[in-house]
Amino acid sequence: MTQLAPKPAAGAFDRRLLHRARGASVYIGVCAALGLAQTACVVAGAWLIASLVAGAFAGGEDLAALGPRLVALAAVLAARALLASVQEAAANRAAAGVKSDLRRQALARLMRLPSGTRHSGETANLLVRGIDALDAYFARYLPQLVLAAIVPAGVLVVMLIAYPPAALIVLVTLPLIPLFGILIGHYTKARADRQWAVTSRLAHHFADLVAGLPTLKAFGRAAKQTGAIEVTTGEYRRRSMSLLRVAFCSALVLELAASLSVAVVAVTVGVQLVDGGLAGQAGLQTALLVLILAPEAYLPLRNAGAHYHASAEGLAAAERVFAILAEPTEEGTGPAEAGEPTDAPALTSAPHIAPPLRRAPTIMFRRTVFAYPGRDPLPELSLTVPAAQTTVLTARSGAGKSTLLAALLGFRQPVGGSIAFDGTDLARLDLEAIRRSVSWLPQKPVLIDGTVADNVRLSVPHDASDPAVAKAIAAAHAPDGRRRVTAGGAGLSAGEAARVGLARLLLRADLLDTPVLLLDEPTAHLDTDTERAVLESFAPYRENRTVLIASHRDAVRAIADREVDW
Amino acid sequence: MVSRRSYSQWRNTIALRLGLGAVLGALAQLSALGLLAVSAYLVSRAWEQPPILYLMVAITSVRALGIGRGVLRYAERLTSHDAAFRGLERLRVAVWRKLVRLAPAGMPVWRSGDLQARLVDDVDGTGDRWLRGTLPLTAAVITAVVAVVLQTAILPAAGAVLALTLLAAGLAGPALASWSSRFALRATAAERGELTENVRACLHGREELVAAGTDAVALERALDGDERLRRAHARIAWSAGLGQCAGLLAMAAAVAGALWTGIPAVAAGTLDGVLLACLALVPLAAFEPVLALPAAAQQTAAAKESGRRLVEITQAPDPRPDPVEPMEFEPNPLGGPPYIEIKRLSVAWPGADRPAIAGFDLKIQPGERVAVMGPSGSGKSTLAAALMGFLPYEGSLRFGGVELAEYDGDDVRRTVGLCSQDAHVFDTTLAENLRLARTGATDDELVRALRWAGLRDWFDGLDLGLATRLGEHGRAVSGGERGRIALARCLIADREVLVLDEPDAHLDAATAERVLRTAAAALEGKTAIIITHRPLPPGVVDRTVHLRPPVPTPRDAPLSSLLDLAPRG
Repeated sequence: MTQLAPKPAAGAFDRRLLHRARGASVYIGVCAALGLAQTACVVAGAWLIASLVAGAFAGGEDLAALGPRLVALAAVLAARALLASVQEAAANRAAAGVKSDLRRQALARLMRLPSGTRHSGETANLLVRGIDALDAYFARYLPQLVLAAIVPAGVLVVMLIAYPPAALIVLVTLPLIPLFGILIGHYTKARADRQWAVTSRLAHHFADLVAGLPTLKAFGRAAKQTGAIEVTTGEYRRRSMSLLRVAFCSALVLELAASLSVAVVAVTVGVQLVDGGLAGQAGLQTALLVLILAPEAYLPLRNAGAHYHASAEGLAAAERVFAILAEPTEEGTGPAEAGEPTDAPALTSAPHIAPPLRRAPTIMFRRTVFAYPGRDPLPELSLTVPAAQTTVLTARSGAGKSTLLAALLGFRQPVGGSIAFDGTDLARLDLEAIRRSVSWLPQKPVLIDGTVADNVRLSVPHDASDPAVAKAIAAAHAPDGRRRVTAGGAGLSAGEAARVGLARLLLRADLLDTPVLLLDEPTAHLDTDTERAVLESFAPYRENRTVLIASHRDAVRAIADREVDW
Repeated sequence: MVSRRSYSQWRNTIALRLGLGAVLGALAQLSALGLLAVSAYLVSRAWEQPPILYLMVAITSVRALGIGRGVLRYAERLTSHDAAFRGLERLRVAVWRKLVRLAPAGMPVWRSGDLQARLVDDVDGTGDRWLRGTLPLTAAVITAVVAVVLQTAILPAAGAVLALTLLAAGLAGPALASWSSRFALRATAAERGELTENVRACLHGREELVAAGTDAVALERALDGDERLRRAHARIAWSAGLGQCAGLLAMAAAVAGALWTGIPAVAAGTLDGVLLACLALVPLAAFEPVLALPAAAQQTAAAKESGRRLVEITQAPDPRPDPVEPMEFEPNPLGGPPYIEIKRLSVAWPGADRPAIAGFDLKIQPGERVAVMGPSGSGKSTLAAALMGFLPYEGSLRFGGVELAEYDGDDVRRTVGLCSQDAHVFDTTLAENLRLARTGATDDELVRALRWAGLRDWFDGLDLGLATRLGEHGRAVSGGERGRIALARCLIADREVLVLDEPDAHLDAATAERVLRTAAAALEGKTAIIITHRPLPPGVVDRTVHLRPPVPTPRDAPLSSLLDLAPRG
């Protein structure tokens, strides 16, 4: 739906898109070769038609004499059909690869960018739907652009040899198209960018309303939102139409230039024929040749213009993907990607691996202050978590317990004070080594497509044995390891999801023997019986480990060696 | 509410606009056809060197047709896009209206990313179907018919050849294109939804994965989905090429066929040689719109898939249809909360094979505060949904002596409020989030409700106060804050009966007790049903009833995900 002004030529941005993609230059080469062959077919076809008509009409020849040329014409046109088919198939194939490549790079990059600054649903949508919209660009627009560079040149050369005045007409009008395209495109550029922003806001507004539909309905407000949706989409239409009125002008110029120059060529050669400037069978053949060739010179540009409208959405999405690729990565997530884009996910193959902590450390927060933008900073905090003991944080909701745990893993930086492991400042420690020494159960553990066992295995980088996984699942009272889970958690209740997270923590603690365990509200969604059973099987894991739990539950507080409130 | 009459007028306007667009599109194509045909005639006639005056009509028409195509095309684009946008407006509203009736119980457990993709993609897909499917098809048919008539007038045999080849191209091209892509498209839609969900999970759980050193594993899994999507796309690639090829081959046959029939006719004298060039060039122009049909067909096929999913939504049965003749809702003629009487209540979710609650009894006096306690999976949230009129039930559930099923659902919800722990926090300001409970609430009332809900400190810490934006799905607020915002919202709504679903889920004991006590004080005189899985502090409720799971082995049903479609991650 998002139809925007055509950009006439490949700019710096397109080069970026091509550089990013593996095999894209080979694809352009294939396009060019196919384009050359198609140009040859176009010229040969036009010449054969002109010669056949002139032969029959002016030369009085019959089918017997013209037969071979007619067969040749059929062959040339058939060859053109095959070439177009091959080109389209190759283009679609290449597009699939290029999109996948771009998506992989963006996702790999995103995994190393700080969380919390972007909307994960919107970003997921950008990576799938947004990048998919590049189809139109790669499969349709780009090949036509290549043709637009080759065909007019070939056609012009032939026309110049056959009848220079006609070539001159085309030569004068052809540059008008990109010229007007640039002018109009320049005028609409800023508005086109806003258009994507509006579309995306609209999409989000909708999704937000739908997600909150049960809440709206509970308050009897759902039906009233209908009016709001009408207003929003009406506004969207008005904005889009005012943009399109200008954007379609470049297409108007293109169509006018193409059809008017055909008309002018027809009239010019017609007058020449009447005046005797072109005479005889050869004269008619030349006249027909330039008449047939003239529209062909504009056809790729017209096609490119038409397909550019459709590809604008994909290009806007690509622009945002490039913005992601240009963002600096978070500390401790490995070196910025270099070389082959395909090995981007292989983050674990760092050359030097600092050893993890060997024994349970004492963790100290010294006058630590955390702050979120737009809010009062959280109160200053000094706290010692004794080695090999279980400490439960019972501070009130919103006091920054989750922030504290995330800070130990380097995901939040305090704005003041310091955090130390066994007296060494966290900032001076190797973050990866710290992370390898810690098992962390966040409030909402991640769930991916697969079985419960697959999800439990997510806590250890290498493959965990089946018995180890089974043991962790049993200890956490998690659901059957064979049960299917989908990304986002459909198929599990909140309580079950929490226990899958717990099983994950236990597996990691077991296999990697991590001296530190961090648990954020591990039993929030469990009933009292399950909670008791889970905490019981957790007991052996606490031995000789520094355990830090954020929870207000009495059963959890009962297992604490130390309770901290602030 | 748009009345039925103006609604149908509105639809007619859209149909009219679309029709006008199709006519303008066809006229633009016919101008191109005319331009080529008249030019060919002009050149051939000029070769015979008649006086130039004889050519003036042809010369003038060539120029007019040259201008006509561009202008007509521009008008067509504006008309059809305007119509499509208007149609989409209508479709969005219609889909929303249906969802309003379905929510929350009538919706299958759609993952929210998928649901989002459905609404935005599928509705837009329908617009694309008009613009890139129906309109090009109409223009192509009109152009083809006129071209065949013209060709037949020049030479009937050539007309027959053109008709046959156009028909072949028009049928085989799109058929080939859509035939092979149909299944692949179906596959792509699923892969896309799945990939979106996996990518979202990866991004949401990024920190946990990075900390565990398994981000690469999760990434690989998501990228497996990407690889499947890539393959599905590559499969579609060939079909598009085949459709194009069929069209161009038919065009080759049309041009060669025109000359094959035309040349002997000229030699035999049955056709004026002046018209031979026309005969050869008309097919070129006639095929231009037909060659675009495979792409149009693919667009239509994709849109059909979207349409199928939209139909799935629009045809889903209403989970709890309102009664045909609803009772006037006056459960307590003296004002205040109604007397609630539940007998042998049995409630099942749509599609579930067994009830989530069976044989439940409860009587609640007006103004009483009752705790309903039970383990996970005992049907606590189901009870809440039934009380809200979201679900049908068996047995008896009476408000003031009248069965709840006799009332309009919206009327029920004007008396009963629900405070769910997973209530949605909208991506807007705090004030707007609260005011949806009662439009006329003053700022003071909002602030007071926040205080009652135990959010005084939190609120005082906000720089922008009530104007603070709560981020995507309330991301800027913690779980405990979200629950208390929901509570404040319910207090503002001021319902006679309030169902509180685990109001203390994410709170520490002290805060929970404080919140529950203030809430209890604020709810004095109202009926309150507090659903919980652990005992409440003394004095908060008048009594506690226990809810037992209907089957011996409880297995937590994903009820919370039905009640709230916000992503968990």
